[in-house]
Amino acid sequence: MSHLNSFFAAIALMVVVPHGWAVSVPADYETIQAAINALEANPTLGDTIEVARGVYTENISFSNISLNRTITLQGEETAATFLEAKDAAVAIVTVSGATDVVVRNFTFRNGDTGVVLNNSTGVIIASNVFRLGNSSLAINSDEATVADILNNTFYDNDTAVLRGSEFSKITNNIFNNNNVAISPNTLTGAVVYNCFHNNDSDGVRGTQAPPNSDPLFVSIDLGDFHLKQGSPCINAGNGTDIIDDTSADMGAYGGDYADVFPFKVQRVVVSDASSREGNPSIDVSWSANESHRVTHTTRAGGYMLYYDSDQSGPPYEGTDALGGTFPSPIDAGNVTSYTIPDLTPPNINPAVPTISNITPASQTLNISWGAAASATGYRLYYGVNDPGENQVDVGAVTSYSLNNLSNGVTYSIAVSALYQATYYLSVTAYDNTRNSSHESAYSDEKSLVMGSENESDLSATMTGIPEPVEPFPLLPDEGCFIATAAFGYYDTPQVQLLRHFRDRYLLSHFPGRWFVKQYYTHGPKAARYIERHPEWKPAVRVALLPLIAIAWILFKASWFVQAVIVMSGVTMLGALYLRRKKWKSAPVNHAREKLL
Amino acid sequence: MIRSPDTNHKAMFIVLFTLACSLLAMASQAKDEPTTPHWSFEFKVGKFESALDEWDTYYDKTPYQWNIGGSYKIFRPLEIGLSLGKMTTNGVGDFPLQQSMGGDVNFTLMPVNISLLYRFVFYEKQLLVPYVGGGWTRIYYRQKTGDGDKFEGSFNGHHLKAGVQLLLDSFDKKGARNLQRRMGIDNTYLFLEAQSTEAKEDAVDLGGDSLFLGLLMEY
Repeated sequence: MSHLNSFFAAIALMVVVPHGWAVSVPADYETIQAAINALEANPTLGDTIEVARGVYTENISFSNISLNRTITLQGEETAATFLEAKDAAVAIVTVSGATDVVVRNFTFRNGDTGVVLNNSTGVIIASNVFRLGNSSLAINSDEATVADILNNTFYDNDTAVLRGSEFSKITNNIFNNNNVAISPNTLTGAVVYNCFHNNDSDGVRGTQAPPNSDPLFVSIDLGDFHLKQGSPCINAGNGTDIIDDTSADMGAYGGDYADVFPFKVQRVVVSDASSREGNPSIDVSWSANESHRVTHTTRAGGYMLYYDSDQSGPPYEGTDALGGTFPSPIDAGNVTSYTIPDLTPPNINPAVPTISNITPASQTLNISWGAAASATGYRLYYGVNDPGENQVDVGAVTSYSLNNLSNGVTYSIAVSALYQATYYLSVTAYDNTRNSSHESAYSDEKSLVMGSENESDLSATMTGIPEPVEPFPLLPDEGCFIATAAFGYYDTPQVQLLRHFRDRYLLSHFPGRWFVKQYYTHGPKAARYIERHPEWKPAVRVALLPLIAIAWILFKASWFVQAVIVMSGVTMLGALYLRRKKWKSAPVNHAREKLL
Repeated sequence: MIRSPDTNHKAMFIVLFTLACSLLAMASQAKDEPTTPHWSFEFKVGKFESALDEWDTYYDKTPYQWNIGGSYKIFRPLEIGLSLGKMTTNGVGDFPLQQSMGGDVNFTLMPVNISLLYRFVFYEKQLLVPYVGGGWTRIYYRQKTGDGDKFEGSFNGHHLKAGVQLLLDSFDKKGARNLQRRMGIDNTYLFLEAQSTEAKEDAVDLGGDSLFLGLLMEY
């Protein structure tokens, strides 16, 4: 009965399991391991895990997986899908006790071991780049494992492949700059069509290996292990290339499992060519993709230019080049520079922004405003009497801090929105098959501002006063060193008055701040001297009295007292003036004596 | 700056509760008299409610406060102690010219208390021990603003406190014996304490009410 159940279960699985279906990382599952676990738990999810371009730091395990179908772990692009070890002491990928697992199209880096294969059958490790460093092991396969190691590029590893059985096939790989390529020397079978160059020891070279010569990678520094024209590894492998149906290249970009993407275009530069061309135009240049499939002598690939105005990122849907006859993308052909001609930059008037908030700080006003429709930037106006006294272009932000203002001064502030057309551009490379799916990923995007600048009307004017935040409750501090020493204690009323005077009247302007700075620099020394010589305290108190009196009048006295004091002062000055006038006009001796 | 009636009622309730507990304790009779401790050490954590009316507008209403202290027992029920506490909170300040609130202010209070404490302890191993006390307080303060200004100083004042201690030894006698033998700790109490502090200068009272939960060890 149980056999019958198993039979029906197998039939049901064959019917239900959607072979070829895929789950995606990170779209469906955050980690690769989570996707593997999900596939194991639920066969209806499919049999392929597609991993998007990016860096994945994990220790991935296919442990005891036997699902009666091949499970494929596939990177989107070999050169741009990186696997790194989370725990460097553990292999990046471990396949243990599993059957029918394919790992393809990844770049392995940053780990002690790339792949460990234990007691597993039907494993294929294909079209990967192993670049783990010269103290690391790329692939370690034990004697109980049957694996195919196909079309990988091993560069700068300690040992590229350590295998325990001749049942594991090693075909179409490139071993370059490793300490040992294939180990041990005693197992010589099943090693065919591999390219060796500049390894300290090739170990087992097997058969059909081309002579030892440079495989001519496009750019090791950039991680582009595509092959240049003239590489001895081109069309030298076993089988055919999935890309162009010619004899298989060796290395990660040949054979049945290669990804089809040319390497991303590098060093894109854009500049405004309007003055030279006489109409709005953009010069674009880039570094050539030197892959032999792009630079092919008879069937060369080329480059596509993508552009759009006022919209960053794909899809690039610009339509205005050459009066609208060159919509994006433009096939530039096999060149490394191109002029996008006769553009029509949009001419838009942005909406008027509204200031939403002004918050002060010491010598600073923090201003924020609402985003205005169509604005590509903002201009801030500020001044003491009129906002038009100063202006600053603040870019495409909705808040800004005006610094180095004067505390206690009221500033008028307004903001306007700016619009200027911005073009966003990207370049791709395609290979000689002219197949649209054989196009590289977008290059890093570049942008260029063009056309006239349109400015909105000013927002409503608002005011702000820079000032230091005053903590609650307002408490005295120990800042008045000399006065504290003279009066014995910092929270005496006299010292508090001086402190308030400092905060309110000295810190609000530059000379006052300079004086306070000098006071804080030299004051402690004077205070220590007074502490050591208390006989000076009365004298210092007397010296400080006028200042304390002024502070008291300013802070403590009622308006009536302040008025009386001011009037008394004016009266005294008037009396002095009159007395002096009489003194000058009096006869010299006797009369002056009378005046005295 | 005046304490709210609610705060006073709360403190009054705690004091009355403590006294009620003391009456219960007095109802019990002394049995045996093991060794009497001379020193105590305590650690307590609680909530602080400022006496400043506008505190809530600027800071967290009841920030946490911790406190450590030690006491010497002049005789069994009467002790003199010293404690140090800290409360820190973040809030906003004033912009008086702009007549608005904002900015960042970090406010720290560090009260130092010298207290005289009377404990209603009538025999060793008494399960519940109410106590009342009070003394001199000096509150050190520090205000730091987002502009980098710093205000530091201290106010003098006084405090009153009352609470009740629960003898933990009763629940784990073996553990209590081990503590006594190995570390010399005679009694360990869990206690709940209410404290009211006043430290006022120029009508600004940096004190307030605190409710603590703490651990006290006598040795």
